[in-house]
Amino acid sequence: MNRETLIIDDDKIMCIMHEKLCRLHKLPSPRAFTTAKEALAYILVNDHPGQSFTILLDINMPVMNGWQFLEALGGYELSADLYLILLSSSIDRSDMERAKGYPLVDAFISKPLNISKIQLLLEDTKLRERTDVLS
Amino acid sequence: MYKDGVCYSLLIVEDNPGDALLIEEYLREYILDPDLQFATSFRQAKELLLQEGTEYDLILLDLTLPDLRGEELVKEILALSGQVPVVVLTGYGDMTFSVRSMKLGVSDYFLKDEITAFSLYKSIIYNIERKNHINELIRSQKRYDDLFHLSPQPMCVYALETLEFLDVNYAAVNQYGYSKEEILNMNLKDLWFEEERLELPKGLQQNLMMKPGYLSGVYRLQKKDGTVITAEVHSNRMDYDGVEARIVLATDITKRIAHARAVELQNRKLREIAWTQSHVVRAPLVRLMGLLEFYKLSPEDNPEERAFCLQEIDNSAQELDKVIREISEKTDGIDITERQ
Repeated sequence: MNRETLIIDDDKIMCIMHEKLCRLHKLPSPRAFTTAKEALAYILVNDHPGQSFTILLDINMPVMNGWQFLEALGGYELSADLYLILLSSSIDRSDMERAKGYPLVDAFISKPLNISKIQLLLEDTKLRERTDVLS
Repeated sequence: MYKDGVCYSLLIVEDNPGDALLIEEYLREYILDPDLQFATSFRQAKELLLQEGTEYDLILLDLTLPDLRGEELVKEILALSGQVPVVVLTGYGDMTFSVRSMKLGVSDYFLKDEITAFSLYKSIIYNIERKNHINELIRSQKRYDDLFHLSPQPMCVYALETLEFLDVNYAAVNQYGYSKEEILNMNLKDLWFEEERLELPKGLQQNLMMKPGYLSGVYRLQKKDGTVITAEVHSNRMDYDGVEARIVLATDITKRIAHARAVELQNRKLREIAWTQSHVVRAPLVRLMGLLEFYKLSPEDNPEERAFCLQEIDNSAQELDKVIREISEKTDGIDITERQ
């Protein structure tokens, strides 16, 4: 099993910080993308059985935003195993409601991502199994 | 014998004392306690009629007085009597004039030689009641007239055939800036917004053919000074002294519409602001919070990473400041009261 963590955020600083937080919590091979398109292309190229992606997806991004990325990703039948965390900088409840409409979304958190929020996310065994802690 | 208990207040203008006495006797036959005033000349009658606080139910007037007689006397007395009915008493010689005096406004007349107590009493009662009815009718007509003319809502009446205005109230005169005379010389089309005057007849022609009852709509009208207003118009068919007409109520809703637009605009801006608060403002704030966390995690022996953090914290704070300034500029654009 090849496990990777993909961070998708147009804000470079956020990418750097999220990468660091992922490393601290032993989320495997964090890799940051500043555009959703690049991330989508990366997933499609590296999609094969035995591959696992944990994705931290920002919603508000230019060109292709988080929702559009979800629509696009939902259109493919992927062999890889996905765990998707939607990150929103907004506190707009409508974003959270909308996220429920996407079966691809496993978790929804409002930014900023911090240690306590990651710990909360890790209570989901499905995510915990993906960390390097247990492996 | 029957006697009327109402205390009628009567003015008897008669220069012949014998006739006056006879009349009084006749009156007392059917009226228990009449309140009688006597005048023997026009001058005296005038004085009594001009006296403050005295109100008569009826005036009995002899047509021949020492200081005034005939038509002139009748006209003078009628001018002074106001709403009070006047019953004329004459001799045979004046009979033709007596009939004519009815046209001048006299309520009834008697030939002195033919008066009986009963006919006099009956005439008095009848004429007082009749005058009351007429006065009530005049009052009611005035009331309805006032409802139109003094209504705070601008109203007018136009002839269906010619579209000419037949009547207009004060509120309409004030609304359009034309004088009442000017409006009465205009037709409906003259109040229409200039640029739309040509299209007007089509709808109205239909209006003429179908002669519908109640109608309403929103139209653009133009005042004398050229200002265009939006008016909510309600109209109904009516008969105006035998002319097929429509009565129209046209309320100026220009301000109301402008106000509604301003409120809509404000609501849209408020929604924009709410969205901005939730998305745009939070973006640098979120980064700021993340950076502080990041700073706390940075090892003290890594001054480079710490300096990077501080620099980015500063950048985020600047960005946050900029976003907030932009919001306040956006709110400045909203002013309900000034907008047209």
